[in-house]
Amino acid sequence: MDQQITRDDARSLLIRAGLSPSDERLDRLAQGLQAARAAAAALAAFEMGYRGPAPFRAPPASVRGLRGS
Amino acid sequence: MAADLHWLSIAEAAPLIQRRELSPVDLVDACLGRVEALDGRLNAFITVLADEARTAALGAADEIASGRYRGPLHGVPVALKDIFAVAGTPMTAAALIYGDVVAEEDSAATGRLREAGAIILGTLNLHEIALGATGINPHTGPARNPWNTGHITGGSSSGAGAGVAAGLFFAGMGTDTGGSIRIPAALCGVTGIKPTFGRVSRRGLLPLSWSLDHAGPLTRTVEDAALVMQAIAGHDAGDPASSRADVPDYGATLADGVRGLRLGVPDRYFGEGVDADVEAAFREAVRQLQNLGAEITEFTPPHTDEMPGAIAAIMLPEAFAFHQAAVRERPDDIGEDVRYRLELGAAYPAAEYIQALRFREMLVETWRQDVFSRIDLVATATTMVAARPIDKSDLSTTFSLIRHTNPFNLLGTPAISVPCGFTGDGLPIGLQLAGRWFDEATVLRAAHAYESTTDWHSRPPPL
Repeated sequence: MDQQITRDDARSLLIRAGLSPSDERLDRLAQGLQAARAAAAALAAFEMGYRGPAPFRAPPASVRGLRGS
Repeated sequence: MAADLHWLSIAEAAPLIQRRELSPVDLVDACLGRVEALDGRLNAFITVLADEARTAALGAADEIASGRYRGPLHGVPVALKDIFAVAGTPMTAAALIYGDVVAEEDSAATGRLREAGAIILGTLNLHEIALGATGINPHTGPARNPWNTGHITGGSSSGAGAGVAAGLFFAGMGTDTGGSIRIPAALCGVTGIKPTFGRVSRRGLLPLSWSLDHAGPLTRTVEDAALVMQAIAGHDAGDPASSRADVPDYGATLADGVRGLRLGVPDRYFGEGVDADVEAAFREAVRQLQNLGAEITEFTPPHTDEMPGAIAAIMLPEAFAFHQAAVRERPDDIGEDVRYRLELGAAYPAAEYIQALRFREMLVETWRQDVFSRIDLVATATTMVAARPIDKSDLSTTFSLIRHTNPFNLLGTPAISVPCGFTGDGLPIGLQLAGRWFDEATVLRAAHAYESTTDWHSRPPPL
């Protein structure tokens, strides 16, 4: 992944998630996001064929309505 | 014997309790005395339930006297990381953002421990919301390593590691999303097992990452870990990921040894950049297992380059998904390192999360076909380093702690850490053994065989 994630990129990504990052934290966040993006690029390049994530399975009736587990 | 009650193993204490030669009341008092004497230095507990524990111990003593002995945990003091719900007790997650929550009912693990007769001594310190591997916490303060109180315990189950190692209780329940049971076990010189994903219910736990979270015990011996696993393992409809796989009698095969077991030592990724003391102790442990009859083989672990990115791409967005309201509404009440990780989780594109889930499906299948078809167990050092000084532990420390453990969270296989030596500075080192899905019995059996020929686990810390 050649594209550099800037402070403004980091700010935009976090605002999109409903967060309000302070200026002094943006450099570190941009670095972290850059590293995460590079790792994700390795996954994206991986040949996995026609494989999806684990299929959805409805929980048993006894646990419906629970918050998390 | 009275002065050393706290150093008994569960397996040693249980027959004494059953024969009424040892009272649960005396055992609880011994532990509470130990807590009073040492926890000001160790900071293992968040809430000590002294009155409740004494009342429960009296009840256990009466029950046993009337002929209703429940089994090897009956009357044995235990404690739980403060993300396990204990009815009527605050569940703080060692975080300001959840500090005023009181659990209305027990977690599944708490309930099963109570059913087995265990005495709940209290709730334990942790890395804030379990999102970190050092145990350093700006709100509750760090739990301190009994082997050197200026050093970290590792985390996130920091109080469990410190408390078991210091003899404050006999078993500590922890959770493990990237190594949070095995890391403090290794750094504090005790045993910790992360079972197979789905083996132990997470109902009533504060989630960190639903698809990577595991619950399991830290104990002073492998046999004790097997006893606790026997009590807590098994299907629970309250955890959608809970497995219906049968739970074997772990004690039945514990003493079967390692003769003929195929032990795989990775030839890459694991072991790269490991501290010299840790590497030497690990190699000696492998030699010891070989002397006991294990067949040692080197193998190339598949897809290790992609593993760290996949773990982060699953764990961080899942953590943000659960904690997002707190991150939005009270960001300044979250410690800097935890806030940073949650904010990274907020920024992952959905496609990267999905891609990581796809990768995990493939990874599990590859390891099943190419690794666990040829070997029975994988052996690594649990961590790359021993416990670091508290004031010198940072993100690079975290990397060195989680690199060997978190692949087995991604895979969902059982993995144990047992003591395998000490550094030149007298700090414990852990050996990690990982096995096939739902084969905790072989993991425990091999760890027990190793432990039985060493004395690392029985050395008390210099408190």
